[in-house]
Amino acid sequence: MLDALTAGLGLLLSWDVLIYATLGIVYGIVIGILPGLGGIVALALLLPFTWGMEFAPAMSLLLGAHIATIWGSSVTSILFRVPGAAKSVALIFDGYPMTVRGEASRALGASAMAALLGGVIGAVFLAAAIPITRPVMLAFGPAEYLMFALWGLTIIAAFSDGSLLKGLAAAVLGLLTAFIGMDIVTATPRFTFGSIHLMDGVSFPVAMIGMFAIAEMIKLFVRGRSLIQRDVNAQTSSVLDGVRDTMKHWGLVVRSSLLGLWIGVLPGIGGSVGSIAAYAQALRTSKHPETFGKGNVEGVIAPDATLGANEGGGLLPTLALGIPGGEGMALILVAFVGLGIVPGPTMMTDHLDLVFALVWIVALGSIITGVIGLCVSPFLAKVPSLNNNIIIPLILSICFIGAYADRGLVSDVVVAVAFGIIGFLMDKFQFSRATFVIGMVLALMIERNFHLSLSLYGPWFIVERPVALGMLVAIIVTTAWPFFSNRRRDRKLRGVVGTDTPASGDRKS
Amino acid sequence: MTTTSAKARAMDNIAVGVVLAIFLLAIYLSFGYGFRARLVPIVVASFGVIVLVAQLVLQNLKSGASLDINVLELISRGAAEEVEPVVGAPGAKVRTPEDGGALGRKWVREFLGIALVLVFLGVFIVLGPLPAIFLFMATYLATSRYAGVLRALAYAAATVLAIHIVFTVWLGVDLDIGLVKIIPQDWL
Repeated sequence: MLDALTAGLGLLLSWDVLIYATLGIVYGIVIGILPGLGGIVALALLLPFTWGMEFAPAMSLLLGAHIATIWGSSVTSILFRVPGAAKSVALIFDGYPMTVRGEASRALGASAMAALLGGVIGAVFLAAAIPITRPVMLAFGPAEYLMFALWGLTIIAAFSDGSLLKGLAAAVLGLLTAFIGMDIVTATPRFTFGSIHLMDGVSFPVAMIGMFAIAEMIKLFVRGRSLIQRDVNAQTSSVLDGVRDTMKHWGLVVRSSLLGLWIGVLPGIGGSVGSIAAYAQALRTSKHPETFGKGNVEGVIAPDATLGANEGGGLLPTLALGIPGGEGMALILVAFVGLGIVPGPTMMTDHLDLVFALVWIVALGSIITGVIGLCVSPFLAKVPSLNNNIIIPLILSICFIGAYADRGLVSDVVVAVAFGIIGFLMDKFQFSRATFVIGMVLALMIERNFHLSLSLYGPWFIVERPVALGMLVAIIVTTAWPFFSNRRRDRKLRGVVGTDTPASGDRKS
Repeated sequence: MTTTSAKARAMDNIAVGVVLAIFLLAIYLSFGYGFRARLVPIVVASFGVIVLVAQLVLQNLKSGASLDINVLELISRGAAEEVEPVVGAPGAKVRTPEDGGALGRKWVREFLGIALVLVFLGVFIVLGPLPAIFLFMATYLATSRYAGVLRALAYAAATVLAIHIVFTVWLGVDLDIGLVKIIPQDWL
């Protein structure tokens, strides 16, 4: 284990890794600051560049960008009261009042420092969890992995916006999309409609570019809000004040980071829930809860520490099980496959050095993001406006070129545009895109493990494998529970309305 | 039920119907494959059909709100019950007659957004990547009033140059494509 830890570090000890990590981080901060572009857009645009790269530089570029977008989106929440991404909403509550008070530098400093510490705590946890997780993962067979994948999908569908049924339908749509092309088990071309282009299936990076980046640009165009402005006040504090605040509230940082880790490990919940939960626990444990919402720095530290640590937690199921916790990790998983690495139990046996390299990258990425963040915060605090109008043509151009450059095929650009329109419509009609993508990523794992289970244990494999049976029960319960709970709530509400009506009638009479 | 919500419900039904049709098509196509090749797609698509039929039935019999499940809210119900929102409370969504107009304008912008991407795709296929990006970027920046014509042209040229350096020079991607290239030179 120690050998793998040092071997992982050895993979990073080269200039190109540091350069790619820094490039990814600078790019990630810029993308994160621009409202409407989140980490997913950043990753989708970077994916085609990683093809043909070595593992360590590719991952430092991707994970660096992913980590940096999170802090970048916090900047927009703090300065403009417009969240760069959904997960940074909690930063508005106290970050923006601090900006109004002339303490933008302090808020940004606290935010960068909390994200740095959260990221490092997340990486340490990930490193500590690997030796514990490894024997458990190796004890499972294909039937259990099949159930893990199905459970991951249903949980993510349950946590998606809108109807759970639509979330499940989106997962099915993602699975069917991944079945396009040559079947790996029987070498049968499926859903290709005789097209040679579809024989290799739909290219993941191309689909991701369309589904997230192009769809987001259409959304940005429809939203039409191009200029975000604010009044720049004279600064009454410095970035160092923010750093001192974070160090003073170290207990809050640790608590929030552990919360972020836990939420990261659970599939589907994601950073947006994590940051709100962190804010709530900061409010509950603060000595000055009455100042929350009016510019309490604890309301900035807690969500950022949670978001920083969330990535370390999210990597664990992605690496150990091959099941991504959210769409960001799904894209990282796609990058793994593109680099010829299959996440899952074999990752823990054959590529342990790579696993630890990722742990180091998370730590390194968090530190570089924090340091760059602290350096640029005084300048960011003076930014008066953000203009979205240049984003749409620029990002669309990069999307088209990126889709084309993936395999040098114009047909891939057409596919990206098709997925862009599909992604936009899915978002409009509340079919979860996250569930779709995760369905696409897990399709191979589901089909392979299903066939393996049939071959190894026969058609009644579920009954023969008690752990798999238990997991199936858990899937059914966790999927059905929200329905029953909703029904109970509706009935209760109807009861309240029923008892209220005569009362209001009484008042009238 | 207001006309606006009836329209939204009808659109929702159409969207669900389209996805349902895709699942049914997948089942139909799967019957043309061997047993092992069709096994998983048929099971998956059939599950999708069941889910969407349930969605279609429920969304027409129940309110949309009762189908929207917020698991976070369910988890934190104990805390949420203390501040259970009431009808008419601030923050509750109330449709106004003006929403109809806004909805109409939104449809136009949505159509324009999709058309914008499709037009760019068409130009990309015909002219090739670099001329298409130059044309698209300059036109967009000038018409959106982000920049004057000269500045828009300068931004577009800078973008094309950056893309050329990264993709052609550094990554070695051949960007010299487009339908224009297959037109014999003596025709031009």
